[in-house]
Amino acid sequence: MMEKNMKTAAVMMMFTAGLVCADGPWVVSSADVALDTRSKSSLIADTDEEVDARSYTEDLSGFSKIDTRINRGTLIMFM
Amino acid sequence: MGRLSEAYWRQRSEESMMTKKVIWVTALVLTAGAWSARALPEVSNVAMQQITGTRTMQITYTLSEDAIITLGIETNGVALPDKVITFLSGDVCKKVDAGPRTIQWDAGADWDGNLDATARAVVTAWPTNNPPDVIVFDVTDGSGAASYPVYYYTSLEALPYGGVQNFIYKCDRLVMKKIPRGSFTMGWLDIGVRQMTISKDFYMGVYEVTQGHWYRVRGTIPDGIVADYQTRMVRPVTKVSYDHLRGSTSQNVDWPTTESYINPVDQPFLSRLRDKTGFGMIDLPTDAQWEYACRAGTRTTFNSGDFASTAGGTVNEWLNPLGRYQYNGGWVGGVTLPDYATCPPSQATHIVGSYAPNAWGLYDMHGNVLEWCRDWHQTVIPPNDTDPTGPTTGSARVQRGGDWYWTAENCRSGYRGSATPSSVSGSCGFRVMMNVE
Repeated sequence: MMEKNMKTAAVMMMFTAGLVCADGPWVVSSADVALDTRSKSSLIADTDEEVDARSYTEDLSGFSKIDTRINRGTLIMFM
Repeated sequence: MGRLSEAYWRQRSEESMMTKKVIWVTALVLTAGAWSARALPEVSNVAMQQITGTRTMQITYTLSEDAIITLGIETNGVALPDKVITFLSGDVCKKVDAGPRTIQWDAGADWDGNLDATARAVVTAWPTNNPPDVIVFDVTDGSGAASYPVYYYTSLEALPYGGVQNFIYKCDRLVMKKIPRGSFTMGWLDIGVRQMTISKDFYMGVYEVTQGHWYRVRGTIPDGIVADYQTRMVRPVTKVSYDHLRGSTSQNVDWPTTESYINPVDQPFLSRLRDKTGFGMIDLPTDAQWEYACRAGTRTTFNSGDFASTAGGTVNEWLNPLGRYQYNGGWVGGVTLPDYATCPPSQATHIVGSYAPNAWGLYDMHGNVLEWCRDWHQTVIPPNDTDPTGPTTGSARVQRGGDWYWTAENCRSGYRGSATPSSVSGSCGFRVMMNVE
């Protein structure tokens, strides 16, 4: 029994020593997200589409969809 | 007898249980103490999002203790290469204070034309006493700067502006690479070898210190140096004595032994670099550290690891790709020495990093210029040792690596030269090393 206890103690002490000596880096990851590095024109087009869709439903129900998609500047002016 | 035996065993069992409890409580207390005492920096709340309408990713995180921060990016669980995570700004690649922090990564500049739904930021906090593999001192602001910024990277490939071959690292920034601790066979077989152990990791300059580095740190360039105007800043500094680097006992400016020098103009290069970077362990390598770093795990004549290599003859096919020496452009014997003031890199010293690096990413360990080491030179072969620092006294300091003026024989990994500490030569420069406490 004593021998077993000694082994247990030895394992615990080794664990403790490991913690004391540990000086490695701490690594943490984020959650998965979307990353889009296509050309800037693609990004701007995507953004415009989102703005257009929101504007169409919320603020410009009478405005033609084609017009909102073509001219974001017009949209902003009407808003 | 039976009752006695039962009582005896009950008592033994209770004693054993008590002993076990004491051991467990002690171990738990020690464990808890160790956990709280280690105070490792911890990162939490890591999040990444793309800034709308841009190709820039913003990463936020919280840091528990001051630490060195590096960033990795994964897609589909696979790490992107370091060389495509270089356009970084904010709280990254440097020592960062505890608290909520932000990094910006210009992904469009680094990793153009990609669309991925599984991108993940990996933030790493390094204890300040265990930095990542590459440390860079930015000496751009010159000799008048109060301090030099220090940057950290996980590899040489992670260096911004296209990697270590950019001239910015041969003139304006000093790049140091971590050399892992280990044992090796020092010397060469036909003379004598010894088993040496380097017990601690250390950092070694990837390049020899150039005239650009020297000018930035000291504000002057030594007279009569080997170089033409166009390339001098990226070729190694020469005509610098050991005393210029570490101070002189004879002139009573024995830095770092006494931490004294006459005035700032006389402040040795290494002392000045220590002051402006905040790293108090910057120095020259010891003789053993130099050879260990040069060999990079090899035991061959040169650090390419080619067992067929020899150092004989004039033009040497094994040394040709590894460094500048007499017969690959340094100096053709019998012909007039090149004009020190105007010779291009096709003669004498070459631009640092022009030949193949060794396995640990160090350039020009063979040839180009001799490199001062810290030890006093000794004629006897030192005994097997751990972290040897050489004799306590002497008349000459060790020089290593050979130079552009010498043959292949004198450029081998195990060759050791020497010179008096106050002497200068157009074929001798140095490389910086650093311990991390």
